[in-house]
This record gives sequence, structure tokens and C-alpha cells, in this order.
Amino acid sequence: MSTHNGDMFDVVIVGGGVAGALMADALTAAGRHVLLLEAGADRSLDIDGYQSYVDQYLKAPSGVPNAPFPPNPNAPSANVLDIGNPSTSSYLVQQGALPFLSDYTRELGGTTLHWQGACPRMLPNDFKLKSVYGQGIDWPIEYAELEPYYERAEGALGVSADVEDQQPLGLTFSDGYVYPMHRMPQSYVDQFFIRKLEGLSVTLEGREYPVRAISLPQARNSTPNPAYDGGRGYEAVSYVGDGDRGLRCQGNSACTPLCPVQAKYNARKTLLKARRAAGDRLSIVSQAVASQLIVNRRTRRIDGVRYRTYADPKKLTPSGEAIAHGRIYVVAANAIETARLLLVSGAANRSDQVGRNLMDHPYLYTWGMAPEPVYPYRGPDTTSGLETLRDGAFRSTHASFRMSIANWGWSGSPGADVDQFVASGLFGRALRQKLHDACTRHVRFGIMVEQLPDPDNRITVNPAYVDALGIPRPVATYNIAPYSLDGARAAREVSARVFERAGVQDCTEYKARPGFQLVGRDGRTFNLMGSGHIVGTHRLGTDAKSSVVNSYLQTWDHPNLFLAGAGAMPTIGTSNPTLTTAALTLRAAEQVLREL
Amino acid sequence: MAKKPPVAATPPAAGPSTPSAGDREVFLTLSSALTGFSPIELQGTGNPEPLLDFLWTIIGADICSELLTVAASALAHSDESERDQAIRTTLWSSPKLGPIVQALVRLWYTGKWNPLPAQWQETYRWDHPDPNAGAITVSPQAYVESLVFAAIAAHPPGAKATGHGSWAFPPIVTAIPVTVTT
Repeated sequence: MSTHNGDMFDVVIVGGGVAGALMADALTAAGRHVLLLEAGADRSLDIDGYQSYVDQYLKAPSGVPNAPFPPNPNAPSANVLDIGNPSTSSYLVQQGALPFLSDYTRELGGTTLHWQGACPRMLPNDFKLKSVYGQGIDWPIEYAELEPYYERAEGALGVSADVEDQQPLGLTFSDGYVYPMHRMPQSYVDQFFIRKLEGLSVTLEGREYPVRAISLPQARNSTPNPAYDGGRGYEAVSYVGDGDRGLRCQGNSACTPLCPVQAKYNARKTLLKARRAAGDRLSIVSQAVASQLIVNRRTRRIDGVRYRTYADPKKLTPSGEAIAHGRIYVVAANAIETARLLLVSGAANRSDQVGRNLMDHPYLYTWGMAPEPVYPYRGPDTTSGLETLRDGAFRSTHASFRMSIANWGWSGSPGADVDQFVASGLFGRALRQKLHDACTRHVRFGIMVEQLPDPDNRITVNPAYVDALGIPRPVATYNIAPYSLDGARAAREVSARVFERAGVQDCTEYKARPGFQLVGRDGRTFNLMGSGHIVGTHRLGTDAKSSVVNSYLQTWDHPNLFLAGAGAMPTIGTSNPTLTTAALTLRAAEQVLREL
Repeated sequence: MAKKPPVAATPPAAGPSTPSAGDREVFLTLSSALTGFSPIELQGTGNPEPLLDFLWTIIGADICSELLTVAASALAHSDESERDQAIRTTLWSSPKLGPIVQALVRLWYTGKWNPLPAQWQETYRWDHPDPNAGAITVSPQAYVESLVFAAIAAHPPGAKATGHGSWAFPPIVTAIPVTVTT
């Protein structure tokens, strides 16, 4: 196990996910020496290692996000299969009114290994929720400030979308901007809804809104747009470790948990690009679990990162401890792990905001039977969504929401249908026909509901609960407020209206189910799950009293400590947070360089 | 705590250690009748041999032989509805053989073996190396070639990708064979 005791780096980064990778790339491109510490293994850096994840998935195919990744007792992850409430036995201790149902991956590449790849930008009003709708909190920066970084983030991640699809949502773009790649082809299911919903509008809180299916920007290789970058075009990146040429998404339909051909972006692409370009100036040390930020109480600067090493990711094999030194430190370990590291270190928390305002998108399914075959269970998880209810005056009263059209039919299907029809006595040609007739008409919406920051939704640590290396585990306290539940109710009604309009038989039924919360509100109950969008535990803001970092992700308390990750987002809006995280990180990297 | 193998279970009687060519032939015809896929389609999956080998291991040679003997007479009917009725009477609704053929249909369709009901196991045989495990995917190939995806004109997630943009068009739907065992 190589360590870097004694070496002095320009910057030490904790976490090899998307934020850490983009930071490392930006800093090394500017000539800096960077050490990146990753708690998990780096099995996936070459093609054989990546293929081992694919093999693991095919041996035990399951849609759960961490299915391809072998458990690592040295650096466990929160896992949707390991969630009870309350629970002190799961890695993520749960003690709230509701369990926090999202997880992440501790492997080099981070949660982008299993993410879906959705890359919508936040909407302009998402940055000023308080001043426009009287809810939540405003950001200290507006959409316009982030717009150029969104463009750079879309280039770094390789986003497929067309500007004209996104403009009706109120998004602005610089003159002549095009996304790196054209929009992902919209699925046959999408086209069914586009056709059926023509002219449909719904009323929310007394105002009418159009309901339209719009192509979803996604970090997944489509057809490169020759007009990108002033006509220089875009070269897609795919098979990392085995050639550099871009491969388009070929429809493996396994975006979550793992794209077998790497047409979906993952942070290894950025790390390998950085390593090729930077050579020795980028050191990546995996199997290095940060256990403490060493705070100099006199200078208020961070003097080092203490980390534990282990020999074998398959079994508990602690092998030592080391300290990494840099002039600047960037913690980019995801909103739960970053908060945990700050809390165990007593760092950056004069505001008492570290760990607080934990958010996710409570996630609601609705499902039904289309009147004709729409041939789901093909293509990327989702290629379009009903995006027009992401903003509106109703946000003064209840949450907004983004409704993805699922290309993958019903949750648990088609395996569940096989079980059901066999149990009902069907076999032979009758079984085959029945499966065809039922499953080819499955449609489903996956609805992300906005959640407001709430200081009582939080990550804490408690010395009574430690991991196998003796580091306190994260403890989640979580609930979902009426604002979101009322948004879920509105979304459920919109879905019913859409199904009615499209002639879809509504089969949605909420009941106690493993992996879902059953939440009641005004006599209606919903099954809610997590979206994997872990946001808000080290919010950026305008001052040291109410926030942890400034808009450059620099901590108020320690001038040489930056926190990159979705934890910085003070509100979540209805956008999947990775693209915004990437944009904020690229902006922060400029500040790190200024500080050096 | 791990369950223990039931005391009542009788050790499997000695039987042929591997399936014979005749066993394989009956298994293929039975699988075709149970799944609604023609023998040619099933051969195309590459799975008839490994799935019978798996069944042989997990259920035991003696019960497998019995299953195939009963199946052979049901399959002797040339009329499809008579054949299906015979399958239903002698296999599907048999307390001993029914759970196996039902698990076999699910195995073909999903690539997964679902442990047989506890009652069956207590009476006949312990069918699982890990009594606490749920359904297991028999092999990557059993999953990749599982029939449900062919039945619904789709493909298994993570394999047999349909090509860039193919999802924007209706798939080619394979007609169900008129009669599956010829």
C-alpha cells in the first residue's frame, strides 16, 4: 500500500467521484500536483476490472444500485438493501421518523458508476425559491452566474440534448451553444405519450399548465453534434481502459446500476483523462479511508488528512494509517460521507449547519396499462419526462415535480409477471401469449418531488456506532414535510389525468412494500422511495452564520478547505443534482487555483 | 439462524449420475410444452443442457428420472390440448412433481431457481445448498437467455443490447409457434 506520508501536494482531494475527479482534472490541467484519496477500491480503472462489475451484475441481476459492486467491509456504503427504521445495525444508522432511502457507491468513480445519468439543469427560479415563492432559501448566486459552468460541465460529462427542447423550460444558453451530443432518441413509449398528450393542460392551485413530454438531457453517448464548441465538434468517450473511441448507447437498458459498454458517463473517464494528461502530477491512492481532517486551532487551517489503509477490499484487512499533506484540501466524498468526516473532525461547523438540511427527491411511482403495445423494457432507463411542472406559482403552496417516463415498464417486472402467471396455472403457449399481451403495454412514471431544506433532516455521528475501522458511522434523521407530500399528491393527480387522457388503465396501488415508505397525508397514502440524490449537508450561502461554504465551496471556517459535492446545494429543485454539482465544482476549481 | 435439513428427507436413491441422451430429448420436449417456445428456439438459447444438468444436481437423479418418465407419457399425446391436459393432470398438479415443473417454467423464463416450498422439501428432498438463500440466478447465460424477454419483444438488462436508437421503433415481434413440440 503506497502512502504519501511526508509528501507535500498542492491539493489533497478526498473522494474519487464526479466532484473529486473534475477537481483533480481542472487542477492538474493548470499544472498543479494533486493527491486524490479514495476510500473504496479502484477495481474499475482498467477494462478487466470494469468487466468484473458487469460479470457480477449478470450473475445476480438486480436493479438495485449497488448490485455490481462487491461489499467492502473496510469502506461500506449505504445500501438500499440494508435499510431499516430505526436501525443501528445498518451502515447508515437510521433514527428519524422515516428512513433515508438513498444510497451511494464507495469505489473509485463513486456513485456515477451506478447513477442513471440524467443531467437536467436547475431552473432559474430554483435559485431564488425564497424571494419568488416564499419557500426554502435563495442561493447567493443566480442561474446566469452558473450558466457558463453548466456548459463546461455538459462538456466534461458528455451530455446529449438539444437546446431547443430545453428553452421552453425557461433555461437560457449562450449564443450559438449546442450540447456536445444530440438528444438521445426518444423511446417508442415516449412517442406514445407525446402523441396522446398533445394540447393537454392541468390546473394546479387555480392556474393552468401545459403537460408536455420533453427529451431529457443525459450524460450518455448519442450522436456527437458537429456544431459543438464553435464547430470543432465533440469526441465521445466510452470504453475507458481499452481504446479511447466513443461508443454510442446501444440500449443495454441497465444504466442503473451499470452501463456494460460505458456509454454512460462515470467519473473514471475524467480521472483517466486527467492521469494521461498529468502523469506524475496526479497521484490516486485508493483503499484510503479518510478518518480525520487535522485542524490547526491556532491558524484555523487544515494541516493534514489522516487516513486508514487496508489490504483487501473483499475482507476486513486494516493495514495502517498515514497523513496526507497539501496546501489546500478538497473534501468531495458525497453529502453523507463529507458531513461525517467534518463532524468527526470537528471541522467547518461554527454555523452548526454541517449535516443539516439533508435532502433527496422523494420518489413516487405511478403505473398503468397502455391501450396498445408500446413495447417497453428497451432503451435507456428514461429518455423523456413531463417537465413542465417543475416550476409554477403553485410552489408557494406545494412542491414542484419532474415526471420521468420510464422506458422499463413496471418496477419488478417482467419477472414478477412470470411468477404471477405461473402461480395462476398458466404454462406453454398461453403463458407466452399472456406475458406478451400484458408486459408490452406496461407504462410507468417515476416522479421526483421537490424537498425543502429542513435543519432537522440531518446527518450526525455518534461514537456509539462505529464502522469496522472504528470511525463513527453516519446517522440519518429524516422526514418528509407536508410541502413535499402535497406535491406528491398533486403529481399523483396529474398522472391520473395523463393516464385518462392517454387511455391508460391506471394500476397504481400504494401499500406496504419492502424498500418503500408508506406515507399518509389528508387521507391519501403514497409509496415513496429515495432518488439517490443526496443533497444539502454543507450548504453554500452568504455568510458564516447560516452556511458552511461560500458560493466557491470554500469553507468559512478554514480558508484552505473546500467542500465539493451536492452537499453544497442549499435547495434541490427538481433537477438530478450531478450536473449542478459538476458546475459548482468547476467554478470552485478556479477559486482553488486563485488561492494557490 | 440457518435451518437444518429436515430429518424426514430421504437421501436420494442411487440413480444415473448424469442425464442420458434420452433424458435430454424428453427434457427438451417437456420444456417446449411448458414454455411455449419451440425446441429450436430453446436449443438456440444454449440452455437445455446446462439447465437439465442443474436440475439433476439440485433435485437429484432419482426424482429427475421419475419426472422425465411421467413427462414422456404425457408428451406422447399428439393432440396439443390432450397433451396439455395430461401435463396438468400428471405433472402440474402432482404434489411431488408439480412444484418442480412450475419452478422449471420460472427457471426457463427468468434464469432463476426458486427454492421449492418448505413442505415439499421436508417431504422429498433438500433442494438448495444454502437453505436461507432466496432465488438464485443459475448462470449468467441462464439470465441472458431467459425467455421472458423474448416473450415480450425486449431483452435482458445488461445484455443483448438492441442497438443505438432501436428503442425509438417498435421491435420485431416473433410469432408464437402454432404448435410447439413438432
